[in-house]
Amino acid sequence: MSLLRSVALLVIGLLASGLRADDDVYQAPEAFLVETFVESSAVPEPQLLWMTQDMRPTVKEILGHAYPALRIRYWREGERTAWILEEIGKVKPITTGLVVNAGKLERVKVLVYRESHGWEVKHPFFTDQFRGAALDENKRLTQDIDGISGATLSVNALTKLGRLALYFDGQVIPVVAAPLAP
Amino acid sequence: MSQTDPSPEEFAADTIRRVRRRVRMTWHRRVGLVFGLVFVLVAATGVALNHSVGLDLQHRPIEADWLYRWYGMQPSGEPVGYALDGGRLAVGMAGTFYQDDRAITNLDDLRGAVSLDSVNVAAGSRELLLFTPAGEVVERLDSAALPPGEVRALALVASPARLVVEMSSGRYVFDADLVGWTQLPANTEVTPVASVAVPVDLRDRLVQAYRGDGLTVYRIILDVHSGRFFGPPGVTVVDLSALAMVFLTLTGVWYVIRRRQTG
Repeated sequence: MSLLRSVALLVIGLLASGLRADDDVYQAPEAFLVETFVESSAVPEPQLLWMTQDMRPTVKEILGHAYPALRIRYWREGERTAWILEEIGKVKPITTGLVVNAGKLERVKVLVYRESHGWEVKHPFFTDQFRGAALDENKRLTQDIDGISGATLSVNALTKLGRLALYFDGQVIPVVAAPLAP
Repeated sequence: MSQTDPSPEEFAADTIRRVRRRVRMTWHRRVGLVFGLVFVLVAATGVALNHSVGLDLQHRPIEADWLYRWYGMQPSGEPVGYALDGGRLAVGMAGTFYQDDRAITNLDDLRGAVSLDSVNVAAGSRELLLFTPAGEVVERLDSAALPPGEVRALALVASPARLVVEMSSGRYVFDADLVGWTQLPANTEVTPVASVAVPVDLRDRLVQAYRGDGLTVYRIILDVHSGRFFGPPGVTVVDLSALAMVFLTLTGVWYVIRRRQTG
C-alpha cells in the first residue's frame, strides 16, 4: 500500500499549499516617519487636517469614493509634509507613506501590503516614478506613471494616493501663485 | 521436447506478454482503488445535481456551524462588547467593529471602548478608532500615532475627562484633541473599562449578517462534485480522477479484447 501512502502524502501537500501568509509589512509607519525626518532632531508633532464639506467633492473625484475618515493626521516641517494614507487595491487597503515637498511628491513608499497580487508596486522602480510629480489644474499628476502588468489595481491605488497627498498638502500649505510679470 | 512445446523464443515472448498484462492489470486495480471513493462521490453528487430542481436543493439552507467555519463564514470566537453612552454597545467580532448591529469598519481584537464628550474611542490590539455616536469614522490611530507597544486596554480619568490607553510599554493619557499623549507615572490608579455581555439576539443578528446569504445544500453538493469543497487541491484530485476514469476505461477495454483473442 506504498502507493496509497504516496497519494495521501500528495493530497496533504496540496492541502498545505493552500495556506497563505499574513500582511506584508515592508516598513512600520513610525519608522517611515523617523526616516523621513532623519535630518531633523525629531519627528515633528502631528497636525490634523479636517475633511471639510468643500474638500469632499474633490476627494471623491480623486478616489472615486469618500475618504473613510473625518480628519487626517500629517507631519509638517517647513514646506515638507508627510502623510500615511490607505487605499484599497482590489479588496484590502494598501498603507502608503508619502512625502510632499514644495507642492511636489518627494517620496512614495508602500508600508503595508495586504493583497495577494500586485505587490510589485512596492519596488523603487515603480515608486520612484512619482518623484517630482505635482497636481495640474484637473487634479491629475503632471507625470505619467507606467503601469505594471498584473498589478493594475494596485498601481491605480497608489496613483490615487499620490494625487490625494498632493491635494491634502495644498490644503495645509496653499500654493501661492507666481506674481504676474509687469 | 514434444511437438506442442513452445520454442525458447516463443516461451520468452509469452512470458513477456504475461508480465506486461500483469503489470497493466495491477495498475488498473491500483488506480481503481485509489480513485474509487472520488468516483463514488462524483457520481452520487452528479445524480443529486441532476435532480436539484425536483429536490429543491437550491432553497434548502444549511445551519451546521462547522460547514460555515469550513467556508470561512463562521466568526471565530464570541463577540466582545463594551457599553457606550446613550445605551449603545460597541461590539468586536471576527475582525469587524460594530456599534450595536451596524458594521463600522474592520478592527482586530477589540480591547476596550469608551465615550468621550463628542467622540467614541474603540481599541484594537494595534490601533485606536475614533468615531462619532452616529457611527462615522473620525480617524484611525495606528502605530505612527500611538505610544510604543501593543494596546491592552482603555480607561478614563476624570477632571478633566481624558482617555488613558494602557499599552504594553506603560499607561499614557491623551490630550483633549486625541492627538498627543504623555506617559502616566507607574503608580497612577486607573481602572480599565470592563467588557459587558453581548445580548443573545444581537449576537445572532451579527452572526447572520456575517454569513450573508448563507449556504444551501445545492452549493455544498456542487462544490463536492467539482472538488472545490476541498479547495484548489480538491479540484486537482477531481481532475486526476477524470483522467483515471479514462485510463481505467482504456485498460478495461483492452483487457476484455485480449481475453477474447486468447480464449
